[in-house]
Amino acid sequence: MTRLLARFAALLLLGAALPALAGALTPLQPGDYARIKSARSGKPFIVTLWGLDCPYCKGNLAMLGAAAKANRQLDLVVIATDTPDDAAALAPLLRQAGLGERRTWVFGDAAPERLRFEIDRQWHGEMPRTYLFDADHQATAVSGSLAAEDFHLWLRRNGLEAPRAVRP
Amino acid sequence: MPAPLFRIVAPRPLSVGSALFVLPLLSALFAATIPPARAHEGHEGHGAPTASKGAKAPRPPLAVGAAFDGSGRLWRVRVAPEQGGRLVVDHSDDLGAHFSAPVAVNAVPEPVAAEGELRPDILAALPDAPAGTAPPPAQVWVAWTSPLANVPYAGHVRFARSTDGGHSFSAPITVNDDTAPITHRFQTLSRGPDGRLYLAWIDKREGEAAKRQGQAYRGAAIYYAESRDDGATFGANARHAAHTCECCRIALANDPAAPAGSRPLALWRHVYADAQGKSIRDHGLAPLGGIADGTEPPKGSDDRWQVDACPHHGPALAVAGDGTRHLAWFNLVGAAPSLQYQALDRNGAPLAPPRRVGGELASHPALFVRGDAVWLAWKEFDGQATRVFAQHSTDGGRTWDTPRPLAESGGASDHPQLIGDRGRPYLSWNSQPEGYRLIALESPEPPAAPAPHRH
Repeated sequence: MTRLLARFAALLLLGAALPALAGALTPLQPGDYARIKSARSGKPFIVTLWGLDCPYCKGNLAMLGAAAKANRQLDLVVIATDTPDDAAALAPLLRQAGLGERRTWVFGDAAPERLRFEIDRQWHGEMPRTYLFDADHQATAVSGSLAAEDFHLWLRRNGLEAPRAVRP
Repeated sequence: MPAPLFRIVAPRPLSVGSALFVLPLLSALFAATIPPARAHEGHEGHGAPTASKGAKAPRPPLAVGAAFDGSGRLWRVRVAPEQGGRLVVDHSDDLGAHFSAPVAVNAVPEPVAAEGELRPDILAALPDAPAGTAPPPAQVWVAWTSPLANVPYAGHVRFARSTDGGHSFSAPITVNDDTAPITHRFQTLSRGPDGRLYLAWIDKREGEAAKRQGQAYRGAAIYYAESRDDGATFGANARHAAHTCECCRIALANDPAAPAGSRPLALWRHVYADAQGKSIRDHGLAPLGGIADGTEPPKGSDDRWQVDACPHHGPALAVAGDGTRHLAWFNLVGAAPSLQYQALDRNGAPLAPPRRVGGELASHPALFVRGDAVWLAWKEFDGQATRVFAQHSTDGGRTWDTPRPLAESGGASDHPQLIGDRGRPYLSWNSQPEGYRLIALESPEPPAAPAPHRH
């Protein structure tokens, strides 16, 4: 009971650490990724994985964040591979990428390999990692920064290229 | 099997009293920030959550450093959440079955990176004693990365030593002489046969300087420092390599075939540039400080993985008495994730093409060598459990036996380490549900040719 209380309080303290974060950072648990996908059945969307420990993620996240902000039809799922404990460090980076208002995710399981395995067993944790899902959920996986031309191709293929919407 | 003697309990210590005090103040904020996990989108038909005791817990500091001191005593360093997150050192005289009372390394708690590729290092040795006198107490050296709170990728390389057999430790020092709040991380500690200590780490001082002048800088750099007085002091920092990967551990190994006083051989993930200027993340192989200015480091792998990403997969290196270099590393070969092994001769010429190791989920290798006997270990997660496998070669890495599982964990785990006690290999592995394990790779009969400190 004491431990439960302590855990709950730790979670509360975590919340207190980021009063400026308007969006929500949700811990990703085993099974959640499948639910994220099934909730988007028949629709195109993008999943991007990033982390604090990844200098290349910043630019990639900024490009995707700007595109999602400019084009409300662009469904962007952002997952950090850090921990809920890192919320205070993640928040300013999400804000800088224009994602401060959005619900995003953070790995919530102590064993990151479990979540990596659920997302893609071909993915070995290199970041940034981005999945471009077509409406039929055929996915293109990209390790490293997503090339602007690949992004445009995907947008066009899925009818998401709004005029002046995307300027990566 | 030794009983798991320490378990890391995930939540930080927090008194209930203080929790109750802040509770009402925070409940409003709480609703707006971290929603309860069950408020997920798309949770219709939510079944029983996958069994995972560690769910919702922050990632535990599972990376443990371990080494033998040459007398059969095992030394261990780990982050102790029950001691305010201090680093603690303990030792075992019965191969990990029982450990001494832990001794704090840093009296003042500080953040310590102990997860994934970031591992606290420990080395220990008994000083030489004149014949007939009692053996002097062991010297113990500990190095770690202390990350800076809320500055991504930033940290300092820290070091402390004990000269009284691990009873007390010197006040920690920062070894990087650039103290800007930038990257100085992923340290590796090594000790030469002549007793010199070497610390190598990933350092971004050059990249930051280039940025201030509006210039681009490919990757990070590796810097190193040397101690010739048993760790009392370290000399000035020197650059080993420019343009290295930002987020992979560095492997250091003594080369017994190199002239006396040589620095250790380093294997690290480098960022080479192809003709179009794109990043190729292959491995460099060179003695510390042994790369001529303006030249690209010699290649230890040639898979041409072209990516601007942080792989978080560092290599493993062991060098045999005749200078044969045994290398293991992870790369994408084409589109296929591949853990690979290769032996090179003392001049760096391949003795055979690289060979694939384990399944497509194999990663995080460790190597140990004794003459022509080579052991290779790695871990694989199959969706349910993580297993550490080992393979053995008796002919210098030309042929290998069938991989055999050494240990298994159902939860979060450290990367496997192979450490040696007077030439005998052991797996050192920590995992959250099972605790620390030390597992012999050889059956108990004495090795045919024990040659631990001959070089």
